[in-house]
Amino acid sequence: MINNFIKDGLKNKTFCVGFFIFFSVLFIAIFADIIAPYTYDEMEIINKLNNPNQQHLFGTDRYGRDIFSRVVYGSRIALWVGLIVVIIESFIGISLGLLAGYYGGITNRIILFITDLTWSMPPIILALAIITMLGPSLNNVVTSIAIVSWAQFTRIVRAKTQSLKNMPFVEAARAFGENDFNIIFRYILPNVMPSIIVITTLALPSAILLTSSLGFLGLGAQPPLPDWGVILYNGIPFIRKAPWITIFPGFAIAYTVLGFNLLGEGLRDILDPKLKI
Amino acid sequence: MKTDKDLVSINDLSVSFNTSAGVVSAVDRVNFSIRKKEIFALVGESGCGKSTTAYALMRLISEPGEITGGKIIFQGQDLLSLSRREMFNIRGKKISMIFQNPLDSLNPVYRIKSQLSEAIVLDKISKKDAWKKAVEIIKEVRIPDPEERANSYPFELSGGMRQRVMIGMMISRNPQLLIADEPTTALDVTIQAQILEIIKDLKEAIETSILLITHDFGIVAEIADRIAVMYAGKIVEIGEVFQIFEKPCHPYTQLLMGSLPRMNKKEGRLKTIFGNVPNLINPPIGCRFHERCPYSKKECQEIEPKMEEVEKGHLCACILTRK
Repeated sequence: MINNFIKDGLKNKTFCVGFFIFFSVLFIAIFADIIAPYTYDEMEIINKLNNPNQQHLFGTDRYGRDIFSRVVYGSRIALWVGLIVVIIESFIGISLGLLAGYYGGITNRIILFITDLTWSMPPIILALAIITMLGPSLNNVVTSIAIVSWAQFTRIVRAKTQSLKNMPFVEAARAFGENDFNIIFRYILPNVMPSIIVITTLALPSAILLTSSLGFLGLGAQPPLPDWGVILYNGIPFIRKAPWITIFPGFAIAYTVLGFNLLGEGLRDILDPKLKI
Repeated sequence: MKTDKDLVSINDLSVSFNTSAGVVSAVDRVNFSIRKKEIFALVGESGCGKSTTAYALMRLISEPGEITGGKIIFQGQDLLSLSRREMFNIRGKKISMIFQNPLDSLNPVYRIKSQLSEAIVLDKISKKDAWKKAVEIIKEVRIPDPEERANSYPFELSGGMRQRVMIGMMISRNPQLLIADEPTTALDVTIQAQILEIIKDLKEAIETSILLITHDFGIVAEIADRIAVMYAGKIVEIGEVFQIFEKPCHPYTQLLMGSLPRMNKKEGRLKTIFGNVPNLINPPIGCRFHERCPYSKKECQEIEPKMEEVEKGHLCACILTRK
């Protein structure tokens, strides 16, 4: 099984590129302390707004902080927030999806209604509203993004569960006396897993994008934390004089999001070609 | 008719489906009982309600279907009065079922061994013993290379092997009643024979009764003890195998027998039964078979025939046989 997976993976270029980018971002985040020459909040006022040079690879901002180090440390925030968000939203989404799909009837209707309700609102606006209510901080960013985007998990898990629950092997399980709990966790969930893995990898970049957006709007990570959105926002006043402040974090966001999307799409082609997202 | 020999008796069982077109009464006041250690065959064409009857026995009818009436007395208790939770203890342990489609009947993500032991562990046996027993079961259902097969995934096995694993899984907990819903339909003829042989032998070994659902009279003749013929949601004839084969008394049974291919007779075309199965949303009044019956009389359209004994143990629902 795993050998086949690796073989298919190597054949799939999208997956290979995506995996390489994912791995590079992960590597940078883990070894940020070694890679970054400065800490993210070290100021050298004399060297403010420097061009990219040998000492400061990506240049410096108006307080003389090293952009390269800030971008490197920023990867930690991006990945960490992305990971926590995905864990929370997949937990909510998968449980509700399984319940709705398996039990049907009134349970299904209620869950579907709530899902459609969250689905119908633009995510960034809803997230903004929630953060305004809770106050700007990284934890609240996590909460709000999870609340905004669990619905995608519910929809797909529900649909898959509905089709699986009528499969002969589930019926057979019922016939030899398995209870609902076992049927859901031993028969349905493992068979939905490929789709869940795919949605998870695709949910990660959108979570990162949303975190940066909220950071850019000043509602996410608070300075001096080097969230990519925050660095970008700090560079806006100097965009003509010192464009490197905005270019590099922007590039980091694009690179990471692109990588995760490619990874997700590659995984989808390998694991679950029929899944449509 | 009720005796101590009966394992299950089904009294006036009705099942209907609420569809957008109307209420379909798929099973209508069906009565029969299965004795201990016998193979009871339920025969009929597609859509006559034989599978629905079996699902009702397991209480596995799902939406939009509903059991609308009757009793299923199994070992002195009415299965229809049990709670969901109590049914979990009946299914698998006392009544098991083999399904039509062996290709999709196993969970694709687990090895055969862990699936079999999953079924056995339900009886509170330690995991180690369960694995040992799993290999034994695979041996029992005559799969070559039991040790190796135990470590295979379902997609690595052929249809016949999968059906054998399924049978092994279903009998692993020694049920008193095994329902076999067209167990050989998806398999080729040589495998069919092997599967039937296994079912027959296991029946002797674990002393279980079998409810065999099929549309194949060949299979019935081979292994069944008694037969019930079903038509449009009703049982039209019940009897011992030899009674039904020698003296079929309901016109439908006679026509079914007439439409079997025979080796020893030279005939041109195979005989068929005129017409189609009636629509069960508006079943015909009177005898449900009267529209297709060559002996149909005016009374047939008015009086609903009752099951009556034509000889000992042989019942038939046709007003023409009364004389």
